[in-house]
Amino acid sequence: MISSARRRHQAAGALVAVIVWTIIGWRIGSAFPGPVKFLRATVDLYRSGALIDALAGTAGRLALGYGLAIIVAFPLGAAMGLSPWVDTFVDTYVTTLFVTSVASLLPLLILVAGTGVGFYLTVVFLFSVFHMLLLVRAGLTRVKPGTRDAGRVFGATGWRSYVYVLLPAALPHAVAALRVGYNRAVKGAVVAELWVYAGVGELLHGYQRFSQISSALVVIAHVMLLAVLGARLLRLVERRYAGWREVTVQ
Amino acid sequence: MNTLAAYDVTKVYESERRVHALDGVSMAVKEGEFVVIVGPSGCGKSTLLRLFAGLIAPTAGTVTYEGTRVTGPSRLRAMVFQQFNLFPWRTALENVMFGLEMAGVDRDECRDRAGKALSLVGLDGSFDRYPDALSGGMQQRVGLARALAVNPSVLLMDEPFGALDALTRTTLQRELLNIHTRESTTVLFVTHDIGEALLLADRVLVMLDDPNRITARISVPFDRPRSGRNLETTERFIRLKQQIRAVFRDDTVAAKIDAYQ
Repeated sequence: MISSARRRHQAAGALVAVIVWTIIGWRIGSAFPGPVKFLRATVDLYRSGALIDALAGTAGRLALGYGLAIIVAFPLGAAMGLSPWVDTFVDTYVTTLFVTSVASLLPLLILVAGTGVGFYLTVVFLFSVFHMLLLVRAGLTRVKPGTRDAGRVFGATGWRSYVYVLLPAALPHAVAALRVGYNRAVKGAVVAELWVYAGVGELLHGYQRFSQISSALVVIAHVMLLAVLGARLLRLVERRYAGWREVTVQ
Repeated sequence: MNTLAAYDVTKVYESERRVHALDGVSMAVKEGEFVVIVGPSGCGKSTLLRLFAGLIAPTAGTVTYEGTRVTGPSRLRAMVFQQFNLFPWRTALENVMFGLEMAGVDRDECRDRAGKALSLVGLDGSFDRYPDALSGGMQQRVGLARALAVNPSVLLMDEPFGALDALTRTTLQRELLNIHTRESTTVLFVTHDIGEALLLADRVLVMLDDPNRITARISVPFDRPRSGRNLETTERFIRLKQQIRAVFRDDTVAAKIDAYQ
């Protein structure tokens, strides 16, 4: 009942948005295309294959950079959460890079990594790795001492304490780390491609140069779709496996 | 032989300043006995319980279970915590199954025994509910069932009813009395509530702070089975309660209570 009411509200919201969009498109004219022009541009882009090719390239590079960030963030975050020594050793660097704007590093990265795949991977990696790392660490450091005590009293000592108490307790943060890391990775992929004119970045630059605003909007909408669908998928995983605790990230 | 014993135990926490949590404490609990340690906050009573649980080690002295030095936790000495410490990612039934799973008990038997333990504490209809969906009283029932399910030799209870409202506390006290009468489990129970101590215990140990030590040992003269409603209004109960309260004000009173015993 609540769910169907929510769906009705969402549909009503979408309808209002389309009406407002149509009015704005009609008032502004060619500078901001309305829904009809948008749909026509979408069909054209699908027919030409340009959008699919660009998105496939972007998604591939996104997956590589994001995967690399996961491989680094999870073990290092876990080590920081479990060992005060590792945490003290690494924390300063991680915190410094976390608060540093990755975009400000891009000119330097181009000089070091060039404009090839290495550049995309590095940017996607840097955009996502620190958020994931700090969330994984938080998941482990926030396990209540009482929870660990209860585990020990009932037989979860040694490696069993990690498998049966610490990991399940940290799971909501771990899944939240995947979700936040993915959002950041999409942003990183788009920023990187805008810098070196590749994938969706190349398309956007091209359409901007020739004032093809409808086509540019279609590309932007698809990038948004890529981000939203991935985040939705990870939210489902989160509800399925870590529904007992919701981790909100500011 | 004593089930639990502490011999001249001292516990010092080394942090920014040295904290003497226990200062030369000796005590013993016999098999089937219900012993309650009563004392103010910070007197070291929970520390003593954690030593018996094997969660911490003494700085000096010895803590034993069945005559053997305690070197770590064991399911034979199951603990019930003040803040429940349930696993929020497990349902009530799965929480109770935890200790059995760790002991390598067959899954079907785990479910069966956990179900029986939950029934024993009056939680028949809440097997599949997560701790967040349970009231404080229900969570503590799950905590108690988790401890009972592993069939422990000793129940260590750290202010288990301290976080509950008065009505729920009274109900759970009554249920604990019934369970103890039925199962004859040895219980070491910590509280700061003198009335609760006298209602539940065979023997009350009074702890005072600075230095943290046991000041008085009182055998409770009430027959079992006990009923809180009838017992708490008797003259004997009220007098004993007043005498223990007097120990907190002036520890020389302890000698007079010993004489009364």
